[in-house]
Amino acid sequence: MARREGPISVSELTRYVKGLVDGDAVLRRIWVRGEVSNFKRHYSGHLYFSLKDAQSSLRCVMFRSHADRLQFEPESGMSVLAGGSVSVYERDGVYQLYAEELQPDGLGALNLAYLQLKARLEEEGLFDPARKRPIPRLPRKVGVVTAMTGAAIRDIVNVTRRRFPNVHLVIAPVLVQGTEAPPQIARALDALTQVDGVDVIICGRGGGSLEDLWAFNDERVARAIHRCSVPVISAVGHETDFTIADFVADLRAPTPSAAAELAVPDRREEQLRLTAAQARLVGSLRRGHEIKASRLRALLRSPALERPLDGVRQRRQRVDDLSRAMVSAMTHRLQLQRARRDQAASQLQALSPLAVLARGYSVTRLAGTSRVVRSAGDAPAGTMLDLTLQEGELRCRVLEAGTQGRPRPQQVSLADIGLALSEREEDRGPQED
Amino acid sequence: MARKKTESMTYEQALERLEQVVRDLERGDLPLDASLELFQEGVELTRLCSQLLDEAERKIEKLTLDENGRPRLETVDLEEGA
Repeated sequence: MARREGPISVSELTRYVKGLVDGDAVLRRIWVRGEVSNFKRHYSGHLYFSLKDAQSSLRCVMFRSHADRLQFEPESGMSVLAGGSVSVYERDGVYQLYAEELQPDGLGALNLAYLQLKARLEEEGLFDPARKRPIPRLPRKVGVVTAMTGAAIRDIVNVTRRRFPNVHLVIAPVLVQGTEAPPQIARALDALTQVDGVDVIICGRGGGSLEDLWAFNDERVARAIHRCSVPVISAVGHETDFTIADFVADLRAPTPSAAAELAVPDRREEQLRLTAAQARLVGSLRRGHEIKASRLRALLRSPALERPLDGVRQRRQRVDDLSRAMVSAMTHRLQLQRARRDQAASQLQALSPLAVLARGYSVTRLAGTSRVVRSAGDAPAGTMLDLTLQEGELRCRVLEAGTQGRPRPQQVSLADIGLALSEREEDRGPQED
Repeated sequence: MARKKTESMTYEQALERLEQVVRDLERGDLPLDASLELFQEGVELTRLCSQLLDEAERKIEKLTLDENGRPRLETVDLEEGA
């Protein structure tokens, strides 16, 4: 704040102090040890209390979002470690600890170290949910980092065998407690990643006191899990104990048995799944085939395929119709023509000399010639004449000369008449139909 | 999904693909030849999954490190009741 000549307001001062406090890196993330006093749980869920030691007192508040995550019930008189940030509450002009975590202080330095390491690794991103890898459904081999003796390995062997009888386990035996444990565990994790086919690693031990589990709070173990090239399932202690290894691992199992269940599938379940998939596969193909087959059958029943010659028949019939029409038109025409001809023929008939003969006339020719006698003068007595009657001919002799002048002979060929007659016969000809 | 060569698949890849194949087939809108091909693939995947389930041989090995820090495996007997 720039130097000022005159006095400043209370709120200005308070804001200035708050700015100083908030800007301090140490105060932003700090663990404080002390005894809880004046503990109050507000109806809103926020916790208000003080931390005090022999000389001093510190006001603290823990908001509901953090208070809800507490694993124990704080109370006045309890020694605790409180983690959070220090800031200024402007209305009262006091600084206070905004606590985010609270731990009973029963274990002293060990617990504090745990909390500090946890905060550091979390800061570094080792617990980042985004880097958690999925556990393979069917690992070729399961790596196990634990003690060769004890309940943990027995549980893992039994559970894996029950779930998946032909599972392949590769055990890297280690000490799980004592100063040698952390480097051994870290080395075992590194070594297992070099074993071909190890797709997942279970790392853990059975339950114990916080001291017993301490190896799994070691930074070397945490980093070995972090750099492990295959997913790691942590299995440390019992349901409620959380170790650093649990936070770094890709998956946390509360117990070694639970880890074994997470690491290998239940073989019968898998088999059932496969069988079901197979049945659906066959069923759906069969159904699909059935649908297609029935579509095909429907198609085969369609007129086009069922009577492929239908079109041809239709056309053939049309041709027949046309041809019939044509014949009938022709016939009609012929009949018309025939009628006309018949009429012409009968007219002709009427004009035919033969018709004259039929009426009783005859044609007279000089005998042996075709010269028709038209005048009596042409036939003096004694002339031989040929008379053509309707039926037959007569040869006659003129007994007495007539009175008419000399007739002029005219040629009429009977053969022509005969021809005319025969033509007439031919015209009748064979009938159609 | 590009069809991956069946042999190189892991169990979950094969199972996932198998389930996809079944779903596709059940949709029933594929041409006949495609569905036959898919079915064939499904049969191969089922076989592969079964094979992977059967393939492993129950074995418990112990990993130790030799003096040069190289991993060494030996079979151990740790059956139930141990």
